[in-house]
Amino acid sequence: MSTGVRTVEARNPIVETYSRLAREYDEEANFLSCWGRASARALSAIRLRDDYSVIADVGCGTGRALQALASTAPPHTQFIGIDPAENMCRIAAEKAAANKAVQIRLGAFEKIPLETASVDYLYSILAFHWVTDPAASVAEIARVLKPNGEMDLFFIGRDNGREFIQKTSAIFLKYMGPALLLDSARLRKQLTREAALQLFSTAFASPRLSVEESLTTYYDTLEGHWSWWVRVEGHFVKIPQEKKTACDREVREALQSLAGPRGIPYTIHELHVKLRRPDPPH
Amino acid sequence: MTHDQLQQLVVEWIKANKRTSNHLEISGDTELLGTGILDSFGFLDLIMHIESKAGLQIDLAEADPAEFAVVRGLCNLALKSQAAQPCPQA
Repeated sequence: MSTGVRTVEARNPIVETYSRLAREYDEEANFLSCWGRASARALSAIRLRDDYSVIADVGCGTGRALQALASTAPPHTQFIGIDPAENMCRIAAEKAAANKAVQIRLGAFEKIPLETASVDYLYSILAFHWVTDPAASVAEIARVLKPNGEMDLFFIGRDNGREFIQKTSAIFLKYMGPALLLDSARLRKQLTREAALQLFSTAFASPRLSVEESLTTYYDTLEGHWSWWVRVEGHFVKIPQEKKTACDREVREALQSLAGPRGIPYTIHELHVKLRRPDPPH
Repeated sequence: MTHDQLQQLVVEWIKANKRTSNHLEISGDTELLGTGILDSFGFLDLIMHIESKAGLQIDLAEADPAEFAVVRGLCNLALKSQAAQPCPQA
């Protein structure tokens, strides 16, 4: 079994932030947050076929989904978790140490560390929107999948978090200035369903390929939502430290103003890109 | 491109791409971010639209946060960026 984690050269603020906060990622507050619930929902939608030999989880984080799926899969199934954040990989590798069926590798969608046509099933839960080069990432997925390979990618879409964005954009503009605010927006690739379909159609053909979307509103307390704010902190690393406290205070007040009887709403716009085997001939 | 032409370009794009369903009148005084008419992604798209249609590059480092998100302020910034750019060589 290989659980060694090798360093990759390319770095970006999001990867650095995820790596730095890796130990906090598995805290209970994160699992109970809207993102924890959305991740659990995506995981529950995954159905593994018994004839899969190699399964890849790209953007595996601390390996939570890998462990859950590997615990119920047939013994011949090999799982490979891939993540660009070094400390996430370390934690995932620690968890996988006792399971010979699970390997962890440092890598990213843009350069997947797997052989061509080697993967039966590739999945990813809430990671693809962080890619830096969507076209190259889709080409890499197509490269590593076997000709009849299958895929489930869950990632956030264009209309994600509308309530928060509407309330906080002006605050971030004030503290970051226009250039940094727009730089931070460029870090995420939040696609419409139509744009996602167009992107993945460059490598995969219909009817094997489909893209579904959903809008699900999660309610939580201010502290509950704040617990996942760490995940997007990478966007805001360029706010000068002396301004950050004041910025955080204004953002918290703005989010609290959204509170209703059920709590503070946050709507996740999720895209689900599916690739399935062609139907067998009748 | 004159200020009026640029403002018309911006207003028409916003009407076609705004993120709210409200039938708001878009004018030079309309604030775009705080009102939710556009989000930061929409702003990126708008800036790329202005740059491609007007053939200029907007210098965000020069932008005043208080004016940047208002239609007239954004148009002023675009024209200021245009004036600062060297003329293409013949």
